[in-house]
Amino acid sequence: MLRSLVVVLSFTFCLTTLGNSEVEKRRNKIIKIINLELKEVERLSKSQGERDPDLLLRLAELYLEKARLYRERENNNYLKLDPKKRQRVNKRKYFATSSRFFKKANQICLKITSRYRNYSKLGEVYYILGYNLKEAGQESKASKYLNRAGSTSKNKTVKVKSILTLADIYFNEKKFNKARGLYEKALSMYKDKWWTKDSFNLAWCYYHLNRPSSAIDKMLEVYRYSENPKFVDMRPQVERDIGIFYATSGKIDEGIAFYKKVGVNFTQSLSAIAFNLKKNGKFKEAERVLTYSMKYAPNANDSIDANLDLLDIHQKSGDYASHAKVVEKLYATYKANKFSSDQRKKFIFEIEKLSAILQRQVLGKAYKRLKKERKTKADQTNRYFEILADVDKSRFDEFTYLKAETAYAMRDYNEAFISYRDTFEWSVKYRKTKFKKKSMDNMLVTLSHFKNRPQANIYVFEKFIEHYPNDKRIKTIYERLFNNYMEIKDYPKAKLTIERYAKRFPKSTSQEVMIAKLMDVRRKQGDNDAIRAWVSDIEEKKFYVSSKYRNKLQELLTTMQMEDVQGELKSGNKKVAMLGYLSVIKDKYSTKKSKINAKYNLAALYFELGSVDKTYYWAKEAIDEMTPKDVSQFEDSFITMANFLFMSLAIKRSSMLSYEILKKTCKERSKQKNTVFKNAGFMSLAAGEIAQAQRIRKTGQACGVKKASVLELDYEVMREAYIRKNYEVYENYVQGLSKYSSYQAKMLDEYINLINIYTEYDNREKIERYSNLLRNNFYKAKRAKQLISIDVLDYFAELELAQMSSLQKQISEVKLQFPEQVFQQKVERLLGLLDKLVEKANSVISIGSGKGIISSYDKLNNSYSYAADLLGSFTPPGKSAEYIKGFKAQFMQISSQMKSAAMKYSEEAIRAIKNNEILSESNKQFLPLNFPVSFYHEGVLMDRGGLK
Amino acid sequence: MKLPVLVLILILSSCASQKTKEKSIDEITNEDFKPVKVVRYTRSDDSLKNIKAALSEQLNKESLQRVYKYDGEFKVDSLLDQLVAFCHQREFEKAKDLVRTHSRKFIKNPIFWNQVGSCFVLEKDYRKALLFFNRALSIKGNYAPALNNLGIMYLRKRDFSRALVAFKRARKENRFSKTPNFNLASLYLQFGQYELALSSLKPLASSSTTDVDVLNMVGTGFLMKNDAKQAVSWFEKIPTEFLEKDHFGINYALALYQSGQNKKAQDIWEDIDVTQNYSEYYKLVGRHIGGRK
Repeated sequence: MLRSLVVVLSFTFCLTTLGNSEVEKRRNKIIKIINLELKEVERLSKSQGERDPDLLLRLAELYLEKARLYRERENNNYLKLDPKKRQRVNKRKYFATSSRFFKKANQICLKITSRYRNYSKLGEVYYILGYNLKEAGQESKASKYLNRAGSTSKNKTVKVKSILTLADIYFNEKKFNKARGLYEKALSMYKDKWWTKDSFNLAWCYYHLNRPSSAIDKMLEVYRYSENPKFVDMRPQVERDIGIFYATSGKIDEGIAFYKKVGVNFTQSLSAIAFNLKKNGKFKEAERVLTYSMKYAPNANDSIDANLDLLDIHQKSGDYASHAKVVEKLYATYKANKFSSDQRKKFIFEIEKLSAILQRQVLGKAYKRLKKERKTKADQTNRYFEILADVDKSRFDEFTYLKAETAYAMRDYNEAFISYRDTFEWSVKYRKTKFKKKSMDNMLVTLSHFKNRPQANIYVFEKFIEHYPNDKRIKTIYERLFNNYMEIKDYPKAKLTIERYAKRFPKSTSQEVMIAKLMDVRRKQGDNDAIRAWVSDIEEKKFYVSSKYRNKLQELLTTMQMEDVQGELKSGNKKVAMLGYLSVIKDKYSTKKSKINAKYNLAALYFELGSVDKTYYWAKEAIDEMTPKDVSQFEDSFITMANFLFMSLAIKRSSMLSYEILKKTCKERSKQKNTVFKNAGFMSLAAGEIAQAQRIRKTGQACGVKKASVLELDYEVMREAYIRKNYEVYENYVQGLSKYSSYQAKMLDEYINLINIYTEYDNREKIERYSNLLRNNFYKAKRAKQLISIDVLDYFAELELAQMSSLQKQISEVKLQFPEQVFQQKVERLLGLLDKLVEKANSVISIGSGKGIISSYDKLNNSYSYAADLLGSFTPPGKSAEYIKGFKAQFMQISSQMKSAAMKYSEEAIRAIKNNEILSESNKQFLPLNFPVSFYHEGVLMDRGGLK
Repeated sequence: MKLPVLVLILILSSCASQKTKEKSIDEITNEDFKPVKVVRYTRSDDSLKNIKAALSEQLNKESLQRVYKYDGEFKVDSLLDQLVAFCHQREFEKAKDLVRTHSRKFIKNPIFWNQVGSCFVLEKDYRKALLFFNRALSIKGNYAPALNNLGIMYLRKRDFSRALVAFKRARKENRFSKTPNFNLASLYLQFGQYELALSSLKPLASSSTTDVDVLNMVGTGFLMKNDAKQAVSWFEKIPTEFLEKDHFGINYALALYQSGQNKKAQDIWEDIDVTQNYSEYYKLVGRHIGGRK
């Protein structure tokens, strides 16, 4: 029974050679037999109180056998299940029956080992325990019991079976050396029908222990014994596996000879061998087999297949370098159109498979630091993608895209870009969408790694705009496209891009940024026409820019114009500069500032030309529009222009220009303010513009011009008003100036004028008023020793002289007569009047008027002469000669003294005239000629200084 | 004698007139922007040349005023000459055109601006005259002609005191200028200051002078001094045709009378062509010398 179980366990695959129904029948038959025996043995054991270890051992053996058979059935049923269903079922439940019987056997054995320590068949008990544990997958524990069984069992059969079971465990655990020893030991102890099976395992142990010759020899031995019906027939297995031994050890010829004997084509089997080796992970062996097989390949087709198999083996063995070589070899074959459809498919499959693996490695972290290896893998991947793209053209986009991805991962951006581009173009050409968008997106990403690759950028952006006009990134793409056209200086296309952008995004402020960039270029190029065209387009709303920018643009245009003009100026082309300034002024796009600038410059240029009209016109225009600060800044220039106008006899315009300067700089600090004010004022008077002078005066006062300067102008306005007989204005100014002490002395003349004026109009009130003012202020001025005009001095002298004239008249009216008392009274009156005259003369002389001095001396001289004559010539009537003689003598002396006094006054007058250079008509009365010689000459204007 | 002067003036004035019209922008060339060469003051320019005028001899280097009055010759050979000629010819507009055209050339030249002022004096526009005399003085603070001409301006305004000061200042600033002395002498004589007048006339009154105004003033000075004989000797250096003018003849007649040449005095007096300004004085002298007309 045990023997049959072992056979079943060791060669399960042998059952597969039998029909299922036959096996099942046989199994049921055995189970029936076992059940009968179990029943009987259990009855016996119970009848003896379960104290007979032999019966217990037999029970354990029967349960073990039963469990084995059930396990076999369960196993078959389990393997028949659909793989998916198999995954879902409860394996323990599936194997529950067999497990129950194994457990029963085990319990009985453990009972024996605990109750009967010295039991003679304890080795058999240990064997059952070991076997059960082995079946339960507890191979370590199983080994312990089987070892005990092998060493303690006195039964040779059990001993051998224990060793073989243990050998099987080691064999399964791939501990081939241990297994080999146990197999060799056991096989030396017995030679029953199972010998072939255990030797077969030993052959494999040799094979695995790299002893192919021993393995082949053992296999051939097994083959020979299998021919004997006493032994289990292992020939099919030998035929199957010995090929591997022959194939992997290179003993192909021997293999061919062996298989020839059994009627099998070995070379055709090599592929299967290799497949199996590969399947079992023996890739080197599989590779070796295939390599050998190719030498014996009857045709090219077989070689292709072998190589295709080899690809799989290389892939699985991780020998990618060899894989690559095979691929290249196969690719060459493919190019020669030698592949069948299936071969092509397998070729694609194999390359694609490894490509995927390699790509994962390249993209993964494992090779990040192993740069060299990573590079090799990447290169191989890319080569495979190239081949794939060629071999499977329907998936060109996919493989080229994958190639690009690998290149990108390797930071080979150039290669990545090319592959993305190829993918994109192919997709477009064949109207494929799967990788079109992806390749475009990744091209965009790749571009970010490029430096100075505007052409690549332009290609991508143009394609993007063409194929994805509604993408949310389109706006940015347009902007980037524009920037790249700018970079390569393709300005027409840059402009075209703005136009396209403006149509697509009519309200985007980015237009402004782009225009600004392009404008900047045009600016540097000095391409005014281009800028004008822009300004025109913007004005026509072809582009959307902010009003601030629009203004700035205009300013730019005019600044450029100004620069051009300034350039002309610098190069001495002033005529062109003038035309330039005029065009700036006429240009509707010119900014205010530029126009002002142009006007100022025109004024300056016309000033250079000496053009009075134009200098004035443009200077005034410029001032009108300039800010006060600017006018203040250019004040000196404007003053120079005003002076030029004055020098050109355009006095009124000079005044007006100065006035404009004054008004504009009114609230500005300026050292020139007083000068400008005086120029404006005095020139307006010179031009006869008294009303304008008054306006200037008012402005000057409001603008903080020095008071002294304002008063100075007031004085001149007053004088002009007097000359023009504008007496109302005149009087107002006189009254105004009278309030200032510095003008008090000067106003004395004006009071006199006013007295004279009002005398004409017989306005006594005014006459009295101004006479009082005149008098009061005259004496104040005298006391203050202020400079008083000769006219005023003469005026006051005249007043005093009038009194002297009155006295003179009274003197001349004195008539001497007798009687003596009357005479005495008359003489006393005469002398009294003369005293008064002298007194008055002193008063006149003290005034300081030359005219007064001369006249007073003249009057004294006349009066004294008259008195002298009067006294000297008087003869008392009716008196004696003696009386008369005495009287005459007395008065002749007085008369003589008077004459002497008169002469003295005359001499004083002459001396005063000479010493004081008195210019008075009265001077002529003291001429030696004693005749008022007249002379008048209008005077001679002096044109030159003459000789020196 | 008048003809050559006029011809010259016409030629130059036509040139000056052509420049007064401002060019249109199309007519302007870059040449027009060439900086004007500034004519600065030089002593040589500050003296009139090319004058042939014996009757105004003493002041011919300094003033053109009496040259034209006495039909002298003046050859214009510079813009400054042209300007002075226009002014004294009373061609004021032409003079102004010239000024407008050439003002920048003479921007720093007191001769030019003094002349502009003189023109305005002659035009009796004293405010403008004052501005330009001041401009001349702002360039050359002690420029005697401008000072003298300020005196003339005051004289015209009958402000004799200021005129006196101006003439004296002019004389002080240029001791060799004759015009201020001439004007001072004239002013002094007007007010009987014969001694001062004769003193001022000393630089002018050489015995050989042919300047009729100087001779007249010296004669008048001596007349006032009651030195009739001297007076007559000076008056008699004046060409006879001038003695028939009231400005010369009346005092000459008086001097003859005072020197006892009554008959001649009366004859001279009778031959005088009297103008309005002198009519009263003419009569006064006539009465004094017993003239009958």
